[in-house]
Amino acid sequence: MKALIRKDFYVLKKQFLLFAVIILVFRLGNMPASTLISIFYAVMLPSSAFAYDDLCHWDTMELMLPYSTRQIVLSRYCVGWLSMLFFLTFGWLVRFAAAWACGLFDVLPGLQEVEDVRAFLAEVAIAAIFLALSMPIYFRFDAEKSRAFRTLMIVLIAVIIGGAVSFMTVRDSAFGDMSLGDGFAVLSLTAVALTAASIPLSVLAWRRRHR
Amino acid sequence: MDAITLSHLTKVFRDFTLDNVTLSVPEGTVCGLVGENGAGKTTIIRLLMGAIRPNAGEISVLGHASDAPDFREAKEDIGIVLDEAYFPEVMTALQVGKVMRDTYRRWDMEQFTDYLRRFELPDKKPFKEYSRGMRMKLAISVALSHHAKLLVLDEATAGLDPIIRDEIIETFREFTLQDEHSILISSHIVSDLEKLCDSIAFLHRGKLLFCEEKDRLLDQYGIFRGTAEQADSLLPEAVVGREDSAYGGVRALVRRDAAPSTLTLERPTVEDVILFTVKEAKSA
Repeated sequence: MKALIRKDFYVLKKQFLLFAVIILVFRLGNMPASTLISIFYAVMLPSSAFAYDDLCHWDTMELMLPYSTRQIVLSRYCVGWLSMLFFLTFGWLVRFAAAWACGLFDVLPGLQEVEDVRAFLAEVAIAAIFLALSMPIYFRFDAEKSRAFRTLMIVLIAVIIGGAVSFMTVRDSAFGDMSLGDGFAVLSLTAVALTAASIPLSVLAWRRRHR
Repeated sequence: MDAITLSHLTKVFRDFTLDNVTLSVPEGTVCGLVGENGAGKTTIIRLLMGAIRPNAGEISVLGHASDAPDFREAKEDIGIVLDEAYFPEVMTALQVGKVMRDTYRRWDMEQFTDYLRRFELPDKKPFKEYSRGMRMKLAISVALSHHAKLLVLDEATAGLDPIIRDEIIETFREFTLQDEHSILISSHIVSDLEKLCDSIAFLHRGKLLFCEEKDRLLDQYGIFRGTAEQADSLLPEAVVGREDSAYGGVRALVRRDAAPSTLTLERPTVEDVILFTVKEAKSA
């Protein structure tokens, strides 16, 4: 599995650097879409890995090498999780570093420590949910066929983030008794449940594609 | 012991069927898999590597059944070279080596760098900047750097110039110097197979027409050259196939055991046997 993860990181190295620069710019500019961008890239990188595989027919080679189906599937999930953690952590670190450097920690909205940790974990959960939803599709179909699904995902991510922001705005008046903690718990449980279902589904999808 | 055993192997696709193929490659030998494009050579290789499952029949490679859970163990001992080197194009040879070090338990990085040096492959140049010959040499370097006992080569010399082909064939010949090393090589460049192989398996439209030791195969047949009248006087069962020239001459592949012993026959090449056999199969 280490071999496959290593291969993906060699292949995605340039994209990683490019995405990191984009996130840096968005976060430093404190742009409203910066969270969306971080989640988007975290989820999109594995799909780029699938596209590269299709391009060079790596899957033909992969089937001939001593990898098990589980190793093939799990390695791609690991790449997804690692890139997700990298981009989200990187985005938040940049934001904190910038706020700290400017002495603005206590004046920027939404930067209270506890809220921020929860918001960070919520971002991780949202990214994990999208990863869990998209992986079986990528394992079942080639990159070309998965493209339509990827567009749908981008729209969904935007809608959900937008919805979450709106919810945060109105929750005090409409859902006064529901805390941010409750929302986070729901997101986390959904992420865990979907991931648990997604991995065996991806194994089946991969086997079906290569039977 | 056989390095490869295929027993009554059948695989049905929508537009092609590999039909009841039985063949074996004894340990320490080189078997050439010959056939036209689409004859089923790549299907056999995908089946024996466990990449696809057969509809019927059994496959055993280095003593492991291809559908057994421990087949990954057998893959550790198989070096594979496909018709293209399917490595990601942005990777360098050195990076390919590092990925393979994490793939094969017995990966030998020293041997790999030796092969890179021998084939004059730049180790830090992206794979996409390699020529086809260099790409195939990298794939061969990978296949030979994890102490494989069996090489499976699918059109590994196709599209290469004769000088590089010769260099590669020489590398395969060195591999076979060790007693337990075996090779299954599929190709439609019969001259390459003739140099390298101990036995020839010939596939035509998904059926195995013959699988014979090369020398025995060449001993069975002879090339007849003469007039049409002389050719007509031969027993029909003696003539595998014939070519009539516009000037009245005939060139025919003849079974020695069915031809008169007084008849002068030339020794055929493997290519002669295959071409005449295909002609017969097509006209049948």
